[in-house]
Amino acid sequence: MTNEQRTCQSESVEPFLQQQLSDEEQVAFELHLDDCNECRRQLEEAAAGDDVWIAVRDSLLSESSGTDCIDDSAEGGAETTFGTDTVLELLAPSDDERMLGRLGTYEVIGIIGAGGMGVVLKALDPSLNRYVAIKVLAPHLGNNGAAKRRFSREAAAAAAVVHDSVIEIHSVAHAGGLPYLVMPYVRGRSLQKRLDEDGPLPTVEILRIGMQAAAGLSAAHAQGLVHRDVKPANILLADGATRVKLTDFGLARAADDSSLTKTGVIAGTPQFMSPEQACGDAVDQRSDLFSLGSVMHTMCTGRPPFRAETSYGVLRRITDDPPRPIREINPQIPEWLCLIIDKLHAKSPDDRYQSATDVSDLLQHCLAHVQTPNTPLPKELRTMPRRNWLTHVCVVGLAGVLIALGAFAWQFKGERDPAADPAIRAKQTAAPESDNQPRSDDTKRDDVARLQGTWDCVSFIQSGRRLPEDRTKYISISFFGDGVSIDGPMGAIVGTFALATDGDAKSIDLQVKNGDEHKTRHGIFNFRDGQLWLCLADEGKRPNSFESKRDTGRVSLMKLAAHEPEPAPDNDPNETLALLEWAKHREGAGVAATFSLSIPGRQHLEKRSLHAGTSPIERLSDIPAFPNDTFTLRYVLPNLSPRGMEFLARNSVFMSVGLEELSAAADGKRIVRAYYFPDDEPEVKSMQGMQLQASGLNVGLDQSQWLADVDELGEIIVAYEITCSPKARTLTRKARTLTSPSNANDPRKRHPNRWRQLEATPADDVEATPKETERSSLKLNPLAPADSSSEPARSDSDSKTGN
Amino acid sequence: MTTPETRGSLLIRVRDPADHAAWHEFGEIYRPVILRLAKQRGMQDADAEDIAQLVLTAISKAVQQREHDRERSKFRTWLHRVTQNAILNAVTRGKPDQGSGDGSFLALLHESESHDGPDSDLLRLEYQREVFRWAARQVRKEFQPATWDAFWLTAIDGRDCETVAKELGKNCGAIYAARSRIMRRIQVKVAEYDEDV
Repeated sequence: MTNEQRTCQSESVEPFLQQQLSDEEQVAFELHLDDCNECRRQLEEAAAGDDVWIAVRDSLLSESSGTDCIDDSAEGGAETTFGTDTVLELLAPSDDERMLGRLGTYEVIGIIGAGGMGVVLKALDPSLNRYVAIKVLAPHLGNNGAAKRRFSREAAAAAAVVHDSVIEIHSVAHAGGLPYLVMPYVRGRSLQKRLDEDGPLPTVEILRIGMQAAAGLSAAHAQGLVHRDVKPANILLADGATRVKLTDFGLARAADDSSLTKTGVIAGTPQFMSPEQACGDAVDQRSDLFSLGSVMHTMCTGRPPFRAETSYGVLRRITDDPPRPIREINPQIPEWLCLIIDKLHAKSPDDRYQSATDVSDLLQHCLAHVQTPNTPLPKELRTMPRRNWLTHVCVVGLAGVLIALGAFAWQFKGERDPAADPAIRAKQTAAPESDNQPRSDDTKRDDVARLQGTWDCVSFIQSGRRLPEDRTKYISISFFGDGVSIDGPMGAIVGTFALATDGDAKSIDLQVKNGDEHKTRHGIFNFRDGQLWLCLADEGKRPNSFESKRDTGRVSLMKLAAHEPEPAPDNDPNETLALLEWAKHREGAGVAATFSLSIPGRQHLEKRSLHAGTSPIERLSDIPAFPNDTFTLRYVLPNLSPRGMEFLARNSVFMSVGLEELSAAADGKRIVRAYYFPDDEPEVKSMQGMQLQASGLNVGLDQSQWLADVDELGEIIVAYEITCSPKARTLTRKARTLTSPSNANDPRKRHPNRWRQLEATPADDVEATPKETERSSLKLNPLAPADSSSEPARSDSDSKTGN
Repeated sequence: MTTPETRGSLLIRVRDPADHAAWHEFGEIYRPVILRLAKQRGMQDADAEDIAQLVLTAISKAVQQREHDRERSKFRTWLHRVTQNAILNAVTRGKPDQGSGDGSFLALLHESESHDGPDSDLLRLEYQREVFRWAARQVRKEFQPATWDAFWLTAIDGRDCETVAKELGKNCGAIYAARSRIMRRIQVKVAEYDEDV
């Protein structure tokens, strides 16, 4: 590299830092920097003080190594609700008492929604007697003069766009310093809402919506407008789905202005941004086409193509990564449609379609092809082998598709083999992606109906676990950790499948989930000798028999209580109390109470982890009030997040409370129960103590100490302390007089060498059996009565960690 | 993308538009601070999340009860003071309480008013770092990815300029230029932020 300028250019340092040099000057200065140490030094000194260099380095270093703590809620929160109240305060009183108030000449009827950009009101235009939607710029943006001016200007420009697929703008006006615009009131859902509710759309719909959106964009582009915020929420589906209306034209601009004022507000999620937007580069109309690509991708798969934990991460993915191939997620999407979307998704605008008109025309052509198969595909798309996608009869929502596949395979088998078990029904429990139930065919409906309400939740781990005889109707399967027969680490997942009795091996397709990756694994399972065996084939293969793989059954697996179809109340996750009440009514009846403990705060759970659900600790301690020899804590969490799912899979625990313990607890004794798992079960080992600690059952005790201790010995003990609340105590005492103890279903009897009960009752004979003590060095000190203190039995753990 | 319910409702309560921005920024900076502090104390992710939730909820309640104040700076100063106090109370207390009712929120805010010592030093440090991180996140959007990489690889990862220049296909001078510019922007951002508090 040659460098002509030898003399130092100190005078360029400051303008350079402030980015005031011309391009040529910049290049020259950078070249000069190549050789001039003095200027380098000056530049860095001028840029920031030493302390700042160091501080930035310290801060950011720990950022990259540490957990990424920032999530999208910071930005997302901005979008949900901004200043509804402030907007309402703007309204003038109305003469009509049914109205919220008056805005200009419009009578406001209600609030339709609030977004990052503003609040949308529904109002009546009395002069024309028609309904309108009024969008008021969000107060935080309205405070910004530039944003306000731009809002009005862009709105005026948008008003000039006349197209069927672009929402009309009746007028732009101001009230109380906030600008607002008036649009027709459109009955119908937004595309976002439709996707949320229905999942991925059929190809025809994708084409129809995409085509109209592109046509709308092209009309706007013809006026020199760039939408900048093309996303499903801004695409209204009027009259059901047939007519598309684009909204929010150019409004994103106003948000750009405001973010320049360092309020830190990013309007909306960046998920549908184009790379040039993400970089903050100048955008043109082709930016909208990228966003349109993202919208179409979302219609195909049900979720946005670029996703990450943080907004920052999303931006990076947009700029750096290709989206995941659509057909990996939804194989029903024809290849040529993927080609179109890929082209829209080109990182460089030059590689995309060059105008929205092109896209609209192309999609229209494709639509004709789909609707009238005689019409050939456009030439540029025709190189692809024609898929027989039209013949796909069964449209399965992508959401539940894999689980559905399992059911499908199953039914298929059932048809071929009439002797096979009829009572087959796949029903997912807490699988988050699946809202749509797999279909079961008519002939089996009765069985299904009979069995409904008894399906189980995934839980703990144990391979080849012995299941209680023939009462088993359902199994739930959950994999995680390093299952022996599964290569590499895996996340949770899960199918819950019904079965009636022992029988031939059934094939099963399971969705395997690792992070965001989903895979389908084929396997077979059988119910032999009361044990559940499962064999998963290598990826892409189907196992023929159990013998084909030595690792048969060596997967993490759990069956929660098997039970008769006991009618339980509907499991509304918010009805914990109702469930508990229901269970209480069974008190003394001697019926095995298998019930769900639903955890309130579903929202919370979706967002975070199961642990968030532990608030009803009081209720947990009420549990011993039920004098049944077994009961199951069952968590029913629809819409659980993947993380929550995994957490649930790891942490649910099968608890069994015997009458003796209950009685003891009621008498004010403390009970410590510990379950341990012999070290000959590798899956158990793969379970991490840490995870258990986080299980949040929190019935007492400092669990971490216990677990850590036991881990060292190659065993894991889960220890719980059960204490009785006063209320529970009363109930239990009462119950004791009604029910005689029965050990028939006591898991300790069923699995004498697996379950240990370390009973701390009464206070002075808390010893575990000598053997146990020896093996685990688990020793329990006398515990105080429950009501004297709820402090964890610290001294125990201390004494144990001493070794 | 889901949004926790609390957050949305919090935002509604902060009525003044200027406060919106302050509150937003506040969450962006403090939530990670709380998480880090909690994790440094050996807490599980879930517990750290709980603490963060607890503190933010407590603050939101305090915000609600606070008399409305027109001056943004006052709101911010107040917010920071209350929050730092609540964080210290929460993390020194350890794992979050189980059935956290209203009582514990208030306790968080009103327990011992002043903290000194290692915890509060740590909080200050973490807070300051988070401000830098926040500033860096803001600034990141202003630059080309390649520019950012040049900055990150040399100034943060501490790698040799020559090597990185070769890797990125740039001149050495360009690397110096890139990182100095970014550094300047970060410094400006941080200064802007500090000014406001």
